[in-house]
Amino acid sequence: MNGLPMLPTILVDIIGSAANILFSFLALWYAFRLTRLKPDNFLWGYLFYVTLAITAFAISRAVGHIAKELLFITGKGDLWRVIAPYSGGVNTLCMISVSAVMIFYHKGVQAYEAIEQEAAKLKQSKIHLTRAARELKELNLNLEDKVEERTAELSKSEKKFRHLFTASKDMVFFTDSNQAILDMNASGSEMLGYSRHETSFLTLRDIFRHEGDVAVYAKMLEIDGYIRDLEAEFKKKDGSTIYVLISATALYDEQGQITGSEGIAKDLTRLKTMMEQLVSSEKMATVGQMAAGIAHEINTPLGIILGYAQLMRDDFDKDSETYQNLEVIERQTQASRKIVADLLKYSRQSGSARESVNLNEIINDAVAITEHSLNLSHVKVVLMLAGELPPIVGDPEKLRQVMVNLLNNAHHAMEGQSSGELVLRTRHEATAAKVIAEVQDNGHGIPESIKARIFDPFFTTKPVGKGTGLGLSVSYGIIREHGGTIEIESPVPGPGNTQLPGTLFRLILPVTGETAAIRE
Amino acid sequence: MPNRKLSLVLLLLPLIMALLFPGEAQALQVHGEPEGVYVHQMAHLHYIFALGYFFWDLRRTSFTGRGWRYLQMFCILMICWNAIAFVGHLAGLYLDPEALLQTDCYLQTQLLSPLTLNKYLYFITKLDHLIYVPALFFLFLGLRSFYRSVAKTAGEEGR
Repeated sequence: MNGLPMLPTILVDIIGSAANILFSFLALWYAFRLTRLKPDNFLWGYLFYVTLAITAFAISRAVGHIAKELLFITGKGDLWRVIAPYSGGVNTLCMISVSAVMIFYHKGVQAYEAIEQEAAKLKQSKIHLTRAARELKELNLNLEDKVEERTAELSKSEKKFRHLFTASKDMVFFTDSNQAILDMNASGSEMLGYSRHETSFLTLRDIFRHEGDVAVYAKMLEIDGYIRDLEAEFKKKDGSTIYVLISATALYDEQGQITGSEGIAKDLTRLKTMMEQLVSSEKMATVGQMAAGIAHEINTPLGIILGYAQLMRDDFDKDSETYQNLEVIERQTQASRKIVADLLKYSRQSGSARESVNLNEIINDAVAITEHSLNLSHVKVVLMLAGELPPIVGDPEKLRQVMVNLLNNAHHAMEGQSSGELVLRTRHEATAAKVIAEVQDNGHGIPESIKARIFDPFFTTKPVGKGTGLGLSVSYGIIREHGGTIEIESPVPGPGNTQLPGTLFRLILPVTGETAAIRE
Repeated sequence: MPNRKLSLVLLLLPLIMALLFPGEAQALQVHGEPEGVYVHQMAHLHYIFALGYFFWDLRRTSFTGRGWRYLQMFCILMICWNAIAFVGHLAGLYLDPEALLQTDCYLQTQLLSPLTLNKYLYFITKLDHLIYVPALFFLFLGLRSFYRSVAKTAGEEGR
């Protein structure tokens, strides 16, 4: 009877069942320890229950199998047949339980992942909250220091800007929406001739010379929000005018409405004067060249007319009418030649000497020449000459002529006045290497409208026949020939921003190395 | 409110009737002998499905590490074991009781000739522990690996 022995299956069944118990218990042990280690972790908790169900099934099955084999070995197979349905039932139950638990893994993991995500978010939030709390705490702790630090910074900044405001040599001002001046720096007040207190009652309409400029200022701010380089004229307290270049910015409130403006005005008066002088200088140069040409052309026929007139005169009796007429021709021709000579002097066409000249001596000579006529007009001459005045290089005759011209002009300006005063000053400016002579009168002054034209040839305010209009032109040409300049101030600035009536001519002549050489 | 009470009574009526008149209840079913085997076989199929689903889920979720790979091995081996057990139970059902001969003692039991496919299947499937034990071994390895990994991480965090 050949068959297949079942002994190997029995042995594998018994040993395998024992091994099943062992491994399932070991697995359960580690699953349990995992839950102890991480009691809040869903995944390990879930695996513990899966392992528990697998272990229950493994034990149920292994115990059943071992019991069966042992009962059969010991000849108690009948007993097993009684137990078998229960063992099988429990096995089936355990198997279904394991299956059921496993099926829930999917949803469990989904829930776990969702929880993990939320937990991560919460963790992140917690980190942020902790950080924020720490920062808040630090901020609280350092608040006092920070406030102090910020206050110091603000104070420093305020001081810096305040200094900029006060120390600026330009006018800085703030206005409200009605163009009323809220604040103005000291330079601004000084520029306008008001006190600081007075400026707080001013509006832009008070300081702009032309009403239209205020409207332009407001309009530009309204349209662009700023003004760049607006040229305008300001009216000083004394009524005089200053020329300014304005830059301003509009100030807005939270609703975007203009609440005022802040502006800077730069005084261009001096610059403007200089520009005018420059233009005048150019004009004079052109006129000079033209005059030189004309003078040269006229000089020759005049010489011939004079020569012929003198020759013809000798042919007639002194008492004759023709002789008298020829004398008139000669006299008038001489006068014309003088005018031509003056024109040539103005245009530097005539020759001149170069020698060491003391300006004080020139002034004394000129005063001596004109003193008599000045005294007749009751003009008081005040000499304020510098004690030590370095000599300059020039033509003493021409310089004397300039000085006499200026004195005559001053005399004419003071004619009809009961208390005319003529002040003559000289001084030396060593740093600029200049010698300055000033001729100041208290006459009627020069109107602003003709100030730019007084050096023009043939320009005169005197009645016809009383002056040729060449005096100042010639003086201008002579001084320029000497490398100097002539300045005019009318009215004359007095002490403490006051204005004195009259005119001041200032001759500025250079003291050069050549001067020193000639002196030696 | 009265409507809700009425609904409750109507719902409970079949239960009350079944308790009061059990003989009249036609739904009672008698569980005959093969039902236990069928249930057990169905449980094996259910177990295979659950393990397959579990395995697929393990693969789907992006958990990495040796422990998860051991757990996947456990699933594969257990699916194999369930299949073997399912076949084994069928082979047992179709095996003639006379095919097993016990001479002196149970340990000398033999599967008599002629050896058919069913008899071979019966014999081989009786050795199912050769699959089942490795499956549990992998389960043990997996959990031990998880534990060590977590313990190591916890230790590092603790430091």
